[in-house]
Amino acid sequence: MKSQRRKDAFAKLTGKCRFLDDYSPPETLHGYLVYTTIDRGWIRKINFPAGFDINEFTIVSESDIPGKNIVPEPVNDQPFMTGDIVEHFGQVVLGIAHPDKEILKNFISQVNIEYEKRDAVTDTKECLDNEKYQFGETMHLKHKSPNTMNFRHFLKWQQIFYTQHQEQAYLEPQGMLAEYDREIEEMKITGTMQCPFFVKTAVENILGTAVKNVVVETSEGIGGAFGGKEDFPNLLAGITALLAWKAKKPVKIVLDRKDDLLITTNRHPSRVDINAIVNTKTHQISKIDIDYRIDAGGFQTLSPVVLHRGILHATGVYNIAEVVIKGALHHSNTPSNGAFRGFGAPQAIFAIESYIDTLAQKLGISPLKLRENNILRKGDQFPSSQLVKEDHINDCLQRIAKISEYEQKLKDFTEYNKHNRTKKGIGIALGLHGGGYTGNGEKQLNSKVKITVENTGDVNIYVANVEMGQGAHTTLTQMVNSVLKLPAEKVNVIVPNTSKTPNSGPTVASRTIYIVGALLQKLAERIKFELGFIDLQKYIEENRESFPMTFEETFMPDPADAFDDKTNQGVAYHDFSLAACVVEISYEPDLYQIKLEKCWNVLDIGKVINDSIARGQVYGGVVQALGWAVSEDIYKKGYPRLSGFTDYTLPAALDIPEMTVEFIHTDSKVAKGLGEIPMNYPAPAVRNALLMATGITIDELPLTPEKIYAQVKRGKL
Amino acid sequence: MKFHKPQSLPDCLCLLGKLKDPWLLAGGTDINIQIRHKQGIKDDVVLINHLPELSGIKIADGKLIIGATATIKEIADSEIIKKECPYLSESLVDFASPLISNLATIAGNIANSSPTADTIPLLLVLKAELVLSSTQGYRKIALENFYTSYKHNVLNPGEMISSIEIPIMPLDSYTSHYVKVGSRKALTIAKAALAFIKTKDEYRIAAGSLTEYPKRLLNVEAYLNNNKEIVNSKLFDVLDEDVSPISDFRSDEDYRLQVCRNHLIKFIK
Amino acid sequence: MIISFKLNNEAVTITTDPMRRLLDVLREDMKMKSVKESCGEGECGACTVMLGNKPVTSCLVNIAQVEGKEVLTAEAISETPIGKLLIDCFEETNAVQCGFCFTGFLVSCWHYLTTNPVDDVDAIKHAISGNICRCTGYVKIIEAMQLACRRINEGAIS
Repeated sequence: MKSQRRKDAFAKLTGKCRFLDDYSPPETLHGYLVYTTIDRGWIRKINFPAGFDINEFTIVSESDIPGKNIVPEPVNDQPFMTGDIVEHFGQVVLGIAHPDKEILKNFISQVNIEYEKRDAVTDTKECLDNEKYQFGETMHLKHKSPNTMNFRHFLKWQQIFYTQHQEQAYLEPQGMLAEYDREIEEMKITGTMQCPFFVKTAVENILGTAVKNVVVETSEGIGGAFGGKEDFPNLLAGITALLAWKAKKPVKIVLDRKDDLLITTNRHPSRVDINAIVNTKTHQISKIDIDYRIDAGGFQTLSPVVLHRGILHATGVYNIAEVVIKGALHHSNTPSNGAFRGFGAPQAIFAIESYIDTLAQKLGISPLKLRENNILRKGDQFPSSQLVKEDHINDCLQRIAKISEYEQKLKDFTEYNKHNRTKKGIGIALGLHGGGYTGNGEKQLNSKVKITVENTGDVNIYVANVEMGQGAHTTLTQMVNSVLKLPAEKVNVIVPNTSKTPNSGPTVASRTIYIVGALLQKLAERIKFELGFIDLQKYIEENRESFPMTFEETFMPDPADAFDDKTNQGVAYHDFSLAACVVEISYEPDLYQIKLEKCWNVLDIGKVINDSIARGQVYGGVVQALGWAVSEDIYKKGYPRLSGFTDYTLPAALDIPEMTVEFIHTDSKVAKGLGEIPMNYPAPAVRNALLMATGITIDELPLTPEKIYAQVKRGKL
Repeated sequence: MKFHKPQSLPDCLCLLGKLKDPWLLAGGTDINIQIRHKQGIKDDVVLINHLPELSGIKIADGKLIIGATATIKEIADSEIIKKECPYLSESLVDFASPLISNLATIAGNIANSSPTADTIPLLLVLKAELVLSSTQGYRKIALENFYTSYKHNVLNPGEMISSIEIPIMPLDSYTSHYVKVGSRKALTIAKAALAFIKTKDEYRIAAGSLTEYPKRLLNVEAYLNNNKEIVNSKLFDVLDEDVSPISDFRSDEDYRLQVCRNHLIKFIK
Repeated sequence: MIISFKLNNEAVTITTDPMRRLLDVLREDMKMKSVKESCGEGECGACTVMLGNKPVTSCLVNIAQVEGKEVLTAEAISETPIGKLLIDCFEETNAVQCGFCFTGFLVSCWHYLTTNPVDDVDAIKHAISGNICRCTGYVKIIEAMQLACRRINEGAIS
């Protein structure tokens, strides 16, 4: 299908599109949060500053909560606000509102909390290295293929990999607006979020029976999310709603960037310990033991789901006869971590893809050859026993090797590096990402979608999935319109509003096009079948009195998809998106700096609905992954966190390599997930390029010049 | 904070004579950050950006005369400076970002007295002089004598930087080099910066982010000037006397020192 | 303090604290919602506006410094011939994603196209080096800019 222009671009370019901070109903109070500034302990006293009229302020604490002081998450262990126990820096203690923003900010900056401190663990490596910090459930995945055999010539090799926190750094900070209609006892929430129905549950939790109804609508524009607005909005909305309920006036909270960086969720740091046995004759990995750990932070919240995806992606695209994977959550006294594009898979894939290159080095064969010997081929099984139905992983690998001229460059650069100070490097990595919720998740979500056909000839799509920049709404309209064939401007997605849209599930897990889009397309086909039209526009004109009509559809899982959550056996994800990448770098020895020169990407995401939108997603995700790989570190050297973009340095235009994107197998009938996969594979490709260029092994992200120099100094090549 | 807008430079100097330690607001790129972080907010702020006497770039008496409120972008784009001192204009091309360098002024960068300031190492090796004005008239001071310790300079109460003077040297009479080590290509605070100039007679080397305030590396210069044969280990010993890199959230001591050494060797060759 | 300036080609006079940020005056007093606050410290460019003939981060400009000057925001720039051409190029390449940074890019890019529209990737990257985007990875922004340069140089604007 042709690359239709995005419907939201014009409003965004002219400033007409409203983001949360552009909403200002009359009498709206400014709201803000007071949060803990110690890592662990107890609150003993809260002191308000003098020189203010306390009656002008609306203040809420946990004792004001009429409902439940629990933020709805997969694990319900996080309170909206704490009255005494402090589990991490940045736990909300109070919500405060005032008509004047400056007075509010002044007041809050002078609120003083007296604490009694307790010993805390804030060093993520210390937390992950020690099993005493493990909490929650552990997860296990064991698989033994029937044709394992003993052999005489083998190599056993263990390596441990670490990755750091990463801040989503959406350009629009978190924010919520709550308006309480006292007459009908309805709380209306507007905000920047990925999951309107999660937010609805959160507000219902905190307010309980104090209100009759909660309606949540997203702002017209959502300024980026990447997972960072998957669960934090639940907490923010709850507190904003509580303030609005108490103040009996609308309340708007917009986080200052400093606080957004300090207290919101980040990518889980990881420690992945890989121990494998390799047959040195066939170069095949025969057994692998993976200990996958992530630091959940202060509370578990959604970490078990991240852990689950992590262990299911831990062996990457490889076919290994015997697999033993253990997954565990660790508990540090840092703000709870949350969703960020990839959701546990980038951490797992960084480890396995880096491990493969080091193994290749040990075996004395090219990283490409080692991969060829070990990738999953058609007929093989994932560790979950899920059958690999196609040979697409090999197709990605062969294609990337070809277009990047990997083998030739490997030779050329090796030769070049012998005679030149500045080094050239080339690195390869493969990745995958299962689309939709893990295992039985989509079945449990039971997504519903709605389409109305109006007598004006407009077709309106009702889904809970948001447009957060990824081009979802334009793409969904294209999918529906590929069946209905109306003029493009006639088909639109209604702004998600929980009182108008059915619950088609959250905007996460690369499911919006893959699951919800497919469901909408199925519904569109049913509409066509039921109405029996050839030209819908004409049909509507001729039968205007019959319209409007409403049609709904509910997700039906493939009955063959069974999954056991305890043993992790079965169909983990109905379809996996696949990718291969080659990164070319130059290395400046006087500065110990990596310069990203080129990046080739080959992806199998099945059918591509809108090519330019899809490409944009790949470029964007890859650049985020490159930032994670070489420079982003919110804890930099130790603690506390950085609190400004001055030092949390995101990739800027001068930092990006030349990039190419190629989609293969686009003749597929299925449009697979795309949102997250670009994050999963570039980081190890950079690490592998560094290894090839310099012989320097770094198993810990980010690959900073300081770390590189430390290796050079130690002579560790 | 009380706001003042003088009508002329004499008016401004008069005001400075009366106020106790005011902020001088030119581009605002440092002051507004300090206000945001609620750091060291002063009682008075005096706007100076509009005073024509403080702006402009010209040549007089064989020197480049740069007005206090000349922006970094104006300096980088100046035809005069591109002709007479391309070392300066080229080295400032990636200062912060185009958006910030359209606002940031050279005097602001100097007066803010940060050890990481980007213009200072360059101006040091160019032997820049500052013209400090007050109601008493003016005095000139070499930039290398302007700082006394971390964030402290010798401005007397009532004094302000009104212009910067750089002696013009024939382009073929010196070679130059500048390296700024950051965490990305633009929009980055220097982890380390080195400015080098070598004339027929002498080496001039200045470091940024490696000492409590940007300084000429006098011991290193003396060693290089007085020795025909350079022994790396001796050079590095002398370097240790001149720089004291620290480990902080931006970088660590080892790395900073090593890149300094590497570039020193690179420049000498 | 009374401050008079031109905003989007119209004369404006306001009475306000001279140290207030131009960003806040534009968003709150002048209702120019295209100007966004994202970092508050000049590091991201989401608040970029034209001040005179220079693109600047309005979060670092005090309103006192705007006296007698001309300010242009995306609201006005999007109505100019080159602004419209640029918007068309952004739309054609589907460069826009979440859009929060884009009004800032519009200003920086428009400035480039109206002063020296050279189809050179390095020069374009330098021009936008102060504008951060987290969604796009910059590739399509640069693509759109190159397209705009070509069209301008081929005489698209008479």
